Amino acid sequence: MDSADGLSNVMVSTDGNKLAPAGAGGSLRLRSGGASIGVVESMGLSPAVEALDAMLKAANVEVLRFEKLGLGWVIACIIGDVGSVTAAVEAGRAAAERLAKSGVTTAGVTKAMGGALDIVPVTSCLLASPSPAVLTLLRGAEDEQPAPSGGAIGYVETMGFAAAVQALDAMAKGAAVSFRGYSGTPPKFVLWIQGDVAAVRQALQQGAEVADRIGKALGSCLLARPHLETMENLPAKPTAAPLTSLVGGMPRHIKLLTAG
Amino acid sequence: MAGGAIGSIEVDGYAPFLQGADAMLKAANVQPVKVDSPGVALMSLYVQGDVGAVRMAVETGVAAAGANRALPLVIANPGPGLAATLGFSSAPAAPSPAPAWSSSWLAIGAVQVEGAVAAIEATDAMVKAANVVPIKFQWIGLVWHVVCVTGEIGAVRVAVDAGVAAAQRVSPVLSCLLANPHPDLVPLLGFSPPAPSNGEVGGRRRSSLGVLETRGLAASSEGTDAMLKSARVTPVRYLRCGLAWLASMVTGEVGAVTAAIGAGSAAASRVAEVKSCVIASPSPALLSMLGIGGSNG
Repeated sequence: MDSADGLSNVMVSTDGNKLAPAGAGGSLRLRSGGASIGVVESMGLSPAVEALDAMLKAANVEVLRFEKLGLGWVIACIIGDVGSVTAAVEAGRAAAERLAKSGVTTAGVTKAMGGALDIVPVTSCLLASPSPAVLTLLRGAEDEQPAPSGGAIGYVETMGFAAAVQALDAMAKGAAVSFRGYSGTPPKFVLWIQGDVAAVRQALQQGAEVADRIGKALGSCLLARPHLETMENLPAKPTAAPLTSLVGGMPRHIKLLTAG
Repeated sequence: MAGGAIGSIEVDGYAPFLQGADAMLKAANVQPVKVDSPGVALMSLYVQGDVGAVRMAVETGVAAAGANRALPLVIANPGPGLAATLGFSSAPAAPSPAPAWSSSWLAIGAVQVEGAVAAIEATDAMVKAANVVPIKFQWIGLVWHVVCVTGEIGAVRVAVDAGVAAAQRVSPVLSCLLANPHPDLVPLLGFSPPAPSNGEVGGRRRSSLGVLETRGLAASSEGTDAMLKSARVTPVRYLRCGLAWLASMVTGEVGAVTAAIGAGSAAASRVAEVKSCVIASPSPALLSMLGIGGSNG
């Protein structure tokens, strides 16, 4: 396991913000055994910053990814050994909820969507032993993935990035599939996997079950024999950035027109 | 570097954000670091400085922006790696000089509306009401657009009032007027240089502008198709202006544009929600802000 790589993360998030290498801020050296991941997802930038600060202060963890996903959602992911990450995620979630409960960050969205919208402003998840697919999702280390094989693809759609991470972990552990990327409009995320038909079917079932258990599944779909163009729209190697060639799960030729 | 405390206010709405940010910088000796936005018209200003100064600045900023709209954040002793993750540099950055073209500024006015149609009507009214120059016309969130103008304080005041009056008919409006914006704030806000407005109003074939804003691609296609078939108009822009809203703009003679917009609205409203407007004589500043080539059709 090359979790020591967690030391020199240089992430370029999708809007071009470069995150500094993890060691630059004087953080302590990550012990090579630590490979647990915690994610705190919140609506609004301030709750996420407060959560990240609380997490960094609560235990010896390092920042894995801090990114604005779009439409007001921000994730703060940390990596470390399981005890530290557990303590950190608790602290981070409490800190974010403290800020988010004032409702400032969700009021505008609720108004714009016409009132009846139950947004849970802060969600979190903790993976004690994440599969390589999750590491790919969060930091784009494609070399850890098995090469995609098999002609079927499928996706699971979840509400919330934390739920997506948990679903992906379940899918990757449940069957021999490879993770191709994610897409979707926040807070809804679509995770694409590829493999043999039976494997993909099994994985989708497990992923949907996990997401259902936390109340966040929005559906799944198996494309047993996808059209060639759909396959071409998936990237050759999975990346940490969302797939822009697929909008909300639909192939490129049905994408909404944008100009300028 | 005096102090390492980090503070920010996160404000729901661009106009309240400007007021809060301006108040923050004027209240205490803090260095502004960056303006950030996660989307949906939430804007944050991050500052650095002594804990006491940062706290004072954040409190004042929240009070100025409105306590029900602003979320304060003060981190007295940021954890290891936080500043680097957020993109702050540890050395105090020399405040970047305000761009040269801003030396004639005295005031900034901002108007935030819902929808491109409201924004276009507001801009047109503002630019026609007084001698101001538009410096921002941007889609900032789900449905919100913001228009900023600059000029002398009296002119900006009149313009903002006119813009609010024009837009209020069609959408909720937030506005603000910064009479004397803090110089450190201006370079962070990303204003584009004032659109050159050739003051000429003439031109025999001066075009009108029609805008059809619809919810969804299906309605937009129907509406645009009906517009282009019903009268002699030229399509000039087709862009996304909201989470599910598309705006289709045409120019032509005022009678043609009016007929086209009427037909387009009728066709599109059978499918989904529609907003539209016809500007009989759009000002050149508005057209160049929208990226539509000159007024000769």
